Amino acid sequence: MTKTVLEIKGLKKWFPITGGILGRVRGYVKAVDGVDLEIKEGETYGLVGESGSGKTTVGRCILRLIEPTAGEIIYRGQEITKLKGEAFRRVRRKFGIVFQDPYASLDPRQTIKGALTEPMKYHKILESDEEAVEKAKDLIKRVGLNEDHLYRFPHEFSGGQRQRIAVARALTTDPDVVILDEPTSFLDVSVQAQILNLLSDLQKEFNLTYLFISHNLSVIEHMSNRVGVMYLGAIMEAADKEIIYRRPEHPYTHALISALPIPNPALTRERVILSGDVPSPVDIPSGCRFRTRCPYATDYCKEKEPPLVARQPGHLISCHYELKLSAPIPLAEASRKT
Amino acid sequence: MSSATEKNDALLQVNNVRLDFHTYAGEVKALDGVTFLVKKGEALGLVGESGCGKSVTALTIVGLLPENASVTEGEILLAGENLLAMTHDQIRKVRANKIAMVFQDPTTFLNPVLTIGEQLEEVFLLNSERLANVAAERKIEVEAGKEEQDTSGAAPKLARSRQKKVAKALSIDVLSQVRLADPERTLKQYPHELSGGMRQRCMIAMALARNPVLFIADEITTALDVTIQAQILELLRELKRQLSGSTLLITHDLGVVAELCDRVAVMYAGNIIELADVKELFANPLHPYTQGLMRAIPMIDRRMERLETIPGSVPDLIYPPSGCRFHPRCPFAFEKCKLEKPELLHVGKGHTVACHLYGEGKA
Repeated sequence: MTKTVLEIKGLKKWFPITGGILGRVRGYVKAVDGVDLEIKEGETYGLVGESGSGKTTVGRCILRLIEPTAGEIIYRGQEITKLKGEAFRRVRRKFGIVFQDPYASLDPRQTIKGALTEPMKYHKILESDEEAVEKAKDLIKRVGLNEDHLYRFPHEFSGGQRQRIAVARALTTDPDVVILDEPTSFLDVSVQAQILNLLSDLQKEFNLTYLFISHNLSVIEHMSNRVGVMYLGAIMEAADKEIIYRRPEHPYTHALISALPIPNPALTRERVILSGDVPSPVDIPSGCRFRTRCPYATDYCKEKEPPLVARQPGHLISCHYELKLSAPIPLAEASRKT
Repeated sequence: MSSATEKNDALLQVNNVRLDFHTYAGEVKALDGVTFLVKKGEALGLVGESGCGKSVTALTIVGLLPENASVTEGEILLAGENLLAMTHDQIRKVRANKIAMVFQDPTTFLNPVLTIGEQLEEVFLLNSERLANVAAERKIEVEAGKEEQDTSGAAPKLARSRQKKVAKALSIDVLSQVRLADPERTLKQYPHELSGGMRQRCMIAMALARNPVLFIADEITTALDVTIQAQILELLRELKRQLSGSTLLITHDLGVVAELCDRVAVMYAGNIIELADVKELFANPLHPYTQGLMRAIPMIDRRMERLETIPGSVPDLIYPPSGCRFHPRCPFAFEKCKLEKPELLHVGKGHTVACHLYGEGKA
């Protein structure tokens, strides 16, 4: 039984909407509205959802880049949302993060050496500057660049190279968990493949646990061991990758997977096309939040919010009904060359 | 090269188009002899990574290039007429009546201070003849007393108030054609009141309003979420069945291409490097770049431990590589690739590829 590294219980992040001259709170954007998840040692947990589903906010709350409104974040048995100052600093260095946009996440006026050594100095990981530079040299090589690159500025690099630097920076504090927030959505497919391979290699080498956040279902499928599907600030279904992609039991997961365009013209399959748009997170529907777009919704769904419960060990679903859904994608290994 | 029969059912022929952008850093050789044709009634996909020239190709076709671009060679024939030789007014007429283009981000292309109705009706009001015909067909009348038939012109022309009424009726038609739930309400709304998916539907409606012979869709689902993208793709599939025109679909997403297109052209660094029927291309990609691209994307319908990568990145087109522009990244490159640019070569079954590997006896 592998150990749980990170556990999130009832996480909420409500952003207040203020208005008027008095700046009174008129309502809340419920970006994250009760998320539970559990990440095991050495695995990659994929968090997938459409824009506005709150997946990025979950990642930021874990690092407390934004303070959660409610809920617990437990890192190796220690509750970290209430930690302050030095105590929190010691925990935070166990987390690394890679952001989506490599053009915004690196300081344009800082050399790569600066970007890599600064976190080490801040967290007082190494005794001297020389050691920090040595480590930066080592890391830059691990991500497929070379020592000379340390003395350059971000504008001298392509998007893919910048993302490699961002990955190196995330590893400077010897983290245990790395949060990857859409690390390849800015990149072209040929470069995306390089970064995804790099991330897989580094995970094995440094024994890292990943929280991989993305809207790209194919990338999540490729990278993850387990997947959580978010909709409007809550987890709809979470299970092993195989279950999510082959035998989903939540109607949202099912529609999401079946809607994905697959680059294989020989493949014929049934598509479930959801009608309408995602409702606003300011005004989340009563009862089940997915009911306004769910093809199977009943009156009961309006009244009561379905809890996220385990139907089988490790397969969590938030739905009142046990639906029999078809397989969203047939496996077509035979029909294509690799 | 394409055979004579192929030329006959061609709607659009792009022949050897070269285009440079003048920038402070130097001349960006963005298109390097692009050649392809769009057949009548087909959907052709144009795929490639960012910067490969796919959008520039589309902008060249519709004559919407920025001022620092200049076409140095080639021709683009729409039903035999060279679009590149046209004056401003002529190409404007082509855009109004024959070619419609929809872009990635609908917010940028909708006027924020006009309602959808005002913007959509304008399209119909430009064509008074059609309005008159529709009015006669559907017997759309204005209230008694306001009727004032204008008989001065040769062609039948309606009074303004009646024109507007007809335009509104046509707008409602076209909005229901793109499956907007409440067209009458949408007409009165401003772009900011609509969601991304609805805005894109409005853009498609404006394109359809002109009954185009060629519909160019430039990354129209890229900015949308998966479930909304699925709705738009479903709509495009439906429209393809109903309408007779051709579609040029520009995208970087091979999944979208597989779902919608009849044929696919792959672009790399300003060249078409491979063109084939969609099933043929996915089953039997010939160009090393196409092969690399297909192995680099994670696909959920097959198992793979590791993605294959294409080393390096897209070249700087101010100083493009000599010969085949792909040679510095190509695992099979040999001497000839550095020296000579490969021509598009017919290899059977409507499959063409620009690669020296398939030259004389090499295949």
